[in-house]
Amino acid sequence: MATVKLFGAFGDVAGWTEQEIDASTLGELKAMLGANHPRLGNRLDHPSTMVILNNTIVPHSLRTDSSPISDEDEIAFGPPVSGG
Amino acid sequence: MIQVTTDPINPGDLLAAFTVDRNQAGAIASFTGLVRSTTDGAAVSRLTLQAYPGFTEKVMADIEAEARGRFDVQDIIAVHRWGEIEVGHPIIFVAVASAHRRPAFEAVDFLMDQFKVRAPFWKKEDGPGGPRWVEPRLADHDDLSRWIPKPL
Repeated sequence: MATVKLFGAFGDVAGWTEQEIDASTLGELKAMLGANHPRLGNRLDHPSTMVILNNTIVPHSLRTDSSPISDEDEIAFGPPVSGG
Repeated sequence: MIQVTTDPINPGDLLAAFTVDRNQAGAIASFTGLVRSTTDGAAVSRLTLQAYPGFTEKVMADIEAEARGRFDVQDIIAVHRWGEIEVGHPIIFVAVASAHRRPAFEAVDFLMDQFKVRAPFWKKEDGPGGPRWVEPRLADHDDLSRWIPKPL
């Protein structure tokens, strides 16, 4: 199962910050997250949302629902960062 | 050198240590960022910064490398605190050593503008209305545009 992390307000909306989730594509993962938390689901598709796969930012232009996710992957979602 | 820590930052100690054995440097410029007691007129009692350990250091190290490539500097240190931080306490300390003062000033300015917008920290402010997550400020993005070369 992939490790999924939620940062900033996303963690508050979902009520957790890290979970192991069984999903084979980015689209499947987003659908599972959105099914439990519709407000979170709406935000995950937003261009400004950060998607970080194995410590590398995935730009909005390269995110597709068919992007594969493997068991070893760590994928994080967060609102745009607000700086220190 | 990048360090991301939940421990308190002591800017004086960091600057003193950074200054030792700098025979080739003619200048050290530094910046310390503190937790303000108000944001846009609203009182702030405490700041909580969330980091993504591993990834946050990686992005900050990328920014440090960009600064080293862009300015004629000899050394860079940036220490960023995260977790719960009280008003008046340091959040970040940056220092740059160089042969002459101008690159040191400019590199510190560049590093802070880049860290403010790109370093992965999510900020929550506690105030009279309760805690709230802070969204990015447009002004911070305007600051970034200062570093994009203008056409001749």
